Amino acid sequence: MQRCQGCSHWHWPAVSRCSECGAWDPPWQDVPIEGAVFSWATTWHPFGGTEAIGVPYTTVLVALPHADNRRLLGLWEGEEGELSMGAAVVGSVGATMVGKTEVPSLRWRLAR
Amino acid sequence: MRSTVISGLAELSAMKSSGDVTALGLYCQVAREAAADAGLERGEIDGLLIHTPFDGFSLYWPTVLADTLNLKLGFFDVVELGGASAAGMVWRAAAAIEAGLCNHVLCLTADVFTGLGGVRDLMPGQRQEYEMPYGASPPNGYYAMVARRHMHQYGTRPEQLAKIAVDQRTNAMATPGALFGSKPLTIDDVLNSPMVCDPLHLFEVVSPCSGGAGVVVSRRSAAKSAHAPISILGAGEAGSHLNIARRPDITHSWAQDSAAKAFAMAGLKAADMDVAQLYDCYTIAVLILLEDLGFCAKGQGGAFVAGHDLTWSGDFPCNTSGGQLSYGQPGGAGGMIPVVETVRQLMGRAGERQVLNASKGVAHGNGGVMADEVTLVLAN
Repeated sequence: MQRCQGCSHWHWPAVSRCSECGAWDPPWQDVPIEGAVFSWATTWHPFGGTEAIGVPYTTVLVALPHADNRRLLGLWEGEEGELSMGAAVVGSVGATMVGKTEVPSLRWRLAR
Repeated sequence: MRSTVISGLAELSAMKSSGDVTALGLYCQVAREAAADAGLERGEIDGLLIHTPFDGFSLYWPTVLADTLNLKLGFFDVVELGGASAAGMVWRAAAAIEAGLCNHVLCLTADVFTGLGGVRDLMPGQRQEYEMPYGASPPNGYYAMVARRHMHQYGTRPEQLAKIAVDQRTNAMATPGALFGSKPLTIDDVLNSPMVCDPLHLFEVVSPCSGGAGVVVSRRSAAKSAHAPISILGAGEAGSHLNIARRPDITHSWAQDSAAKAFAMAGLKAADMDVAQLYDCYTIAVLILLEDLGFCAKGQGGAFVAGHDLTWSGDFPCNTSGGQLSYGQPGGAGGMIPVVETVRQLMGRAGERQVLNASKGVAHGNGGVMADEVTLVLAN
């Protein structure tokens, strides 16, 4: 995650300049990929651009306590029935084909 | 904005396909019909605001349209606030007139639906890099997350959201030109329709189509319409972000701010409105706007919907032409539906679905995922 060297603001999506204080190129910091479920949605109908994922799939919005609860999207790797608001989850970096391009993407599952 | 009025309107029937007619063709048709409705000749039109259509997106659209219609303009521009563009045009037109730049501004929207691929390609880069790889197909996935969070925080129930679609379908059945105006819906119909993006069902999601709509904003002293002109009592606009992940609380929207500004400017409050036309890309959007505009407290939207009749003859007439959910969403023109229908009701021209004694109304546009918000308070 990017954290501004000038004002400590966490950024996501990535930025080239801090929207809070204007500092250039906020540096990246390692943050544990763990957090709490804030919301989720399960897509049953295929929409353009996400064909490679295959329906149904669940997208989760996770708040990261180690980054001021900044929220990150990700794909859910478990059963939807396992999900609940506030559930502790851990993530890993996978990849998704978007069109003909492979893009790194977060995958979340329940913390054990 | 007291020296400006809305003097005319036009709305094309919603179409699954416009055949060989392009977005430019639809724009020309809406322009001619709106000007005629306002009682204006071509040479009297000196302002133009449009929303660049998804179909045929390019630079210089206002110029191209002016060229095609042979307009001589003193004020022309694009308003790009997604679904809030149409409402955003109205106060910009009024401000331009008050600044002395022009007298009659065509505020137009039109679009031809040719598939979702073109729309996706126009999305900002951050969506394509940081959202699409997670299957968060905008905007369905985001609105579904908002709905689920609202259900979690406030106990909102699926049948409450479904009732919004049911009442709007009733309204569409009294609306000529509505895409889905022939068959009523029940709450069970909605809840048994295919799940598109859990917890949102098929009938809670707009259907893209082709069409167009617009209004004419005129200097009050120059208005020539045979219809009673509509006053713009208040306007408010608010927004700051695109990505839903950045909102502190995704069950609140900037509509709280835009509505507060608009009602304060008008010296009125939500309870004073006789009709409410609220942007309705999904049922959850209507529910949140009911709360954020002040018709009920935050979290009480579900109970409000269940306890009121939202049809044109009910105790809370809302989205009286069926809204986008049942009239159809003609691309960027979907945001003009709340504006046109508010004006039509206040002019007393809504026919079978006319709300009795409607004198004040609110039209609200919403762009992105509860991101760009514009509220208009209008009166006859």
